This record gives sequence, structure tokens and C-alpha cells, in this order.
Amino acid sequence: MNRDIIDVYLEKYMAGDSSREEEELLRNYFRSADVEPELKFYQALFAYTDSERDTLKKTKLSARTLYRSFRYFAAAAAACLVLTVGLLYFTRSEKPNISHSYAYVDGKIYTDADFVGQCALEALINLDEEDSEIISSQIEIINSILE
Amino acid sequence: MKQLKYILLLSFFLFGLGMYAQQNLEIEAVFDEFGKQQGSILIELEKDVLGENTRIAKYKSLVIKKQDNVLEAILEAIEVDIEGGLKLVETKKDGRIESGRYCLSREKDSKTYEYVLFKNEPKRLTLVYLRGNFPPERLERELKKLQNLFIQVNNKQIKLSQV
Repeated sequence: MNRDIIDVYLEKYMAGDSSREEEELLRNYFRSADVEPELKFYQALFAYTDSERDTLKKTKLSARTLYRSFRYFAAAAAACLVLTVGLLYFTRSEKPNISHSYAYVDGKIYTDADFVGQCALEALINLDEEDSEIISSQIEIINSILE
Repeated sequence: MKQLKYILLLSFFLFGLGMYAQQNLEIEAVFDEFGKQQGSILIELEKDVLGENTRIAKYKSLVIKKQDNVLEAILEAIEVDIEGGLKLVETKKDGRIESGRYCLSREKDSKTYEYVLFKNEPKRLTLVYLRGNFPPERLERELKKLQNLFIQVNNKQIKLSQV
């Protein structure tokens, strides 16, 4: 490259007026081995800016990698959430509207309140066939120990 | 990095499973498994039937023909669910539970109590789950109120399939 051109481009570079192409030409010149002795200072300067550009590229890359990893984790968490909700939904017990009482007798469902109450009565009578007084007194003993 | 992703994925999944597992008592599984088969009566009562007549907020019961597998399932479930709770009454015969009334463990300041009642008769098994805001000393009273409620509703006692 012509020395005059180098001087012109250098002057423009230092003033901040150089174009990209001119800067690239300067870089290529200073990367080569044919740099004139009086321009060695500028060679060191361009070598430094080259290394800074490489560092910036690496930083951008690792930020991109971090972002990609975050997306994977977010996708994994979302998948697990969907799986859990799905499990909860599909394995819940089959029963009528939770606010209403029901009875299953021999596998058949009944929702008439009176009928359901009568079914419950039979179960309660089964339990009641013991001496309630004994049960009550035993519960009182336990409570007195706990107090 | 790949391994870390798999570990995190597994951790999220196990956390979700843990949340799911905590929801249900073991006896709930017994109700689900045996409540809708021939020879069984499964009842769940909510406020529409219970009303304001009792402090019982939820009642669930299973009356079923006695079978070894059902009895084993019930006894195992009771053993797991009453951990940390109270055995209010328990009668045994030949080392086997004949009847029991249990208060399940609850959070320290909670006013909600859960109870499991069980009866092992020669031909049938009765399992009851109750939840309400009454302490153990009121259990009998609440059960009596519940009985009286149903007797009053309809004096005719319906004879269901022989269990």
C-alpha cells in the first residue's frame, strides 16, 4: 500500500472520520510484516483494537449461549408444569360435581339427597353398634392426658 | 452442560410429582379402588346434605363385603394416614383390628380435624372419613347428630343390597 495513502487514512482514522473500508485497509496493512519503522506505534495500536474486537465477539457468543440455555430451562420447566397439571387432571377421581353429595351402590350412582342420606345412615349404624359410652369415656381419658 | 439440563428437568418433574402425591390420603385410594364395585356402597356427603346441622364439613364412607385384599388395603392405608395422629379407640381380636377411631395429624393452629373410623365385622367392612371443625371429644356427638338428621329426613330405612 502507498505510504501517502496510509498517512491520509491514518489521519482520518485518528480524527474519527475514516470509513469502514479505510479502517479495514489500515488493519490489513498493520497486520502484515511490511510496516515501516516510524509506523510501528500504529501497528501496536491496531493490534490492541483487534484483540478487543475478538474479546467482544466472545462475550456476545457467551451471552447468546446463556440465552439459549435459559430458553432450554424455561422450556423444560414449562413441560414439567404441563405434565404435572395433566397428571392431576387425568388421574383425579371420577365423581360428580364436588359440591353435591352422591352414593355409589353396587357401582351405580345416586344423587338424590334423601337416598344418599339413607345410605349414609346404614354406615353410621354399623359403626354405632358398639357401646358409645365406652368410646366417649376413652376419648375423655386421652384428652385429659393431652391437656 | 447437557447433564445439568437433564438434572434440572428431572428435578422439576419430581417436584411436580411431589406436589401431586401430597394431595391424597391413602384411604382416598381405597375409596377410589373399591367404592364402585359390586357389593359396595360408597357415599360422599357435602354441605348440600350436611347443611348447618352438623360441624362435619365432609363425610365419606365405604361399606363393602369382606374380602382379604380389601381388608389388607384398608389396614395399610390407615396405618400410613394415622402417622403422627391419635388413636382414639382401637379394639383388636387375635391381633387384628376389629374397630378403630383415629384422629389424623393436623397443622398446629388448624381448627380442622380429620377422622378415620373403621369397623371389621365377619361379613363386612366399614370405613369412614370425616372432616370438620370439632375436636375428638365432640366426635360422638357429631356422629349422633348426623344419624338423627337422616332419621328425621326419612323415617323409612332403605334396605340396600346385602353387604
